[in-house]
Amino acid sequence: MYGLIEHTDEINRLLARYGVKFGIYKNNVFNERLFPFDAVPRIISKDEFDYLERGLKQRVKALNIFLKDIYTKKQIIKDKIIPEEFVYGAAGYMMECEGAVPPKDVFAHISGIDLVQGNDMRWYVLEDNLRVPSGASYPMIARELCRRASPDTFRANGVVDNRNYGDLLRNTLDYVNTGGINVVLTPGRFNSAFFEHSYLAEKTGSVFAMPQDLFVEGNVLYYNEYSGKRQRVGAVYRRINDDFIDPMTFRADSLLGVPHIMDAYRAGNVALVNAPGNSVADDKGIYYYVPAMIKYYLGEEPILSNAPTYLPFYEEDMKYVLENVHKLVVKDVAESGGYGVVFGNELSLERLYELKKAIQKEPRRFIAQEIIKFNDLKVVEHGVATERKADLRAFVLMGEEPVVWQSGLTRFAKDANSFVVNSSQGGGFKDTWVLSR
Amino acid sequence: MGIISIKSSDNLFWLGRYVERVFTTLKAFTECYDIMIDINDEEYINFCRRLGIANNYSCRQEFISSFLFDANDPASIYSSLLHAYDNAVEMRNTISSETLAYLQLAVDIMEKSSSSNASLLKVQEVTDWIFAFWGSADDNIESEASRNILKFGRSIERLDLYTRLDYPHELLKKEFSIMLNRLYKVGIDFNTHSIERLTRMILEEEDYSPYKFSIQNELAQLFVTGVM
Repeated sequence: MYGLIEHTDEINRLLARYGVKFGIYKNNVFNERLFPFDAVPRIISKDEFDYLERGLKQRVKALNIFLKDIYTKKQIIKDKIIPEEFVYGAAGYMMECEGAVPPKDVFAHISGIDLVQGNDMRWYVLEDNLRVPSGASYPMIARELCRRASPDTFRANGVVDNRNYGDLLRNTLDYVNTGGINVVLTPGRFNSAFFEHSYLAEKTGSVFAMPQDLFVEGNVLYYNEYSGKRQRVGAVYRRINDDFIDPMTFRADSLLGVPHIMDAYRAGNVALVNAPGNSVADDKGIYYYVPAMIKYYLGEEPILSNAPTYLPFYEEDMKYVLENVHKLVVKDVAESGGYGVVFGNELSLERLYELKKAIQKEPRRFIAQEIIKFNDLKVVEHGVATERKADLRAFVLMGEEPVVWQSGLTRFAKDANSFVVNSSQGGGFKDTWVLSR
Repeated sequence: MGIISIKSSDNLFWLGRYVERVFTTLKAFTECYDIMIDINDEEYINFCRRLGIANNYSCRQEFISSFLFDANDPASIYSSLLHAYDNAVEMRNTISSETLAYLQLAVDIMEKSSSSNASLLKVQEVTDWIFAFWGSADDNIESEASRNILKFGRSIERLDLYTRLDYPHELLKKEFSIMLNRLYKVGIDFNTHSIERLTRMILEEEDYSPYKFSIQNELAQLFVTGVM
């Protein structure tokens, strides 16, 4: 392991060489930043991973059924498991997706489930990302470089190779492909995750497309070649949010979308990966109901726990939140990327008062969670070992059966004591080792 | 992957052109720099005229720093390199991460060289990375069509720069033959009249220098097709 850690700077230099960056807009200026890598890995034992794998598969299966149910029969609402206002009031619910069932009934092709490990060593799910979860490319390329830096470390430790993510993703695309080529669709060069888009296109052997390369004719999606030929497209791994993907269906002012792509999708002529409308399942309010969803759809006890969560929507929870807001973390359900998250213990009395007022005024807008005591991970900072809060984004890819990638993106906070691990907030990342024995 | 869109073909073409622009202008700059050491302090004025760029430089020193490193100077080598990178980064899946990495290294070296007290020594590495870029492109670009478009861009840029910089006629002839070969392989519509005129001026005339501006003009017209 030390043989690996001593090469941290060189690995970071090589990551820069391969353009491993993410983009960020600040004051309307686009900048690309390197994503700092810490070579001390998160290590997950085989048994622990087996447990996580079972829980993640179970969770994603339930979420996938939920999405189909919500956009078709709505049985879970009729049976009063989830209040309808939580579904129809969610920003991610897309009326335009009503009745649309994707090829092979797969909605959640790629799920990024964010977990944290408490200092009691229990894992808690913090968020489900079912829109376009990003981040798999970073540990994949970092592993490649780590293996070069210290082969003996990997010879000695029996670490499952994680460089197969491209193959897993290609299998998912092939599984739902309706006949034609696979395409990775990016909104363009100045998207924050552009590196990942182009890298995954390379690793899956897909055609890398900009919106202007695609067109729909007769409810069929085509890729326009420079020679004038056109190629039918069977699956689109689209890295464009629902709102922008089709100006004829969603935002009419979108210049990033492909007109009528939703018509091709509704006609069953192309798979959109992930399915439009998935963001309803990302909603922080819906998150509260995932354990109930698992019981309802699968008839099983949830394997993975949610972080203890309160919905001010319920009177009892509102009372608890108002009394304890100073020791809770409050999240605005409409925000993401680490924004809209406030820790009650960091607020002045005046701001606590304002927060309580806001919660009372719009109870549906917030969730509150107990602050989990993280099992902090070791990082090396300027040559000195220290600790940081970290999460784990696990990736579940859906084919005939869900497959959990035997790795994940471990993100750590920039500053000691900070709970915010998002790259856009200055954090770094680690490799995630899953041991084979 | 042999499937290329119009946008991708444009990116590849301009990638080839900008990489070549960096390479050839850097070589020409080095020669100019050498002359400025002990023969003519103001050789850069002649250099700008030959390249056909505006001489917005107040002195030799400003020319050296701006022409090499100023990202806001559209004629600078650094600016051309950034344009090459911008095109390359959109083509990662076609040219491969390995090939893209050599341009990233060249960009990094340019950034570091600007603060070096021996800039031209450091900048030599840019040339090295460009050689590596082309080697990697040959090895890693699977699609023949993509390779052809990329190299076609390089040929067009060479022909343009060789005429501006008064390169020997034999070199021009050689590059024109290479370009013709690629043009047919690329398989897109082109202006046949321009090709006829270029063939006459480059391959049949004894001396191309009276026609250098006509050659540049015809190169610019190469893809102007249809009714005129």
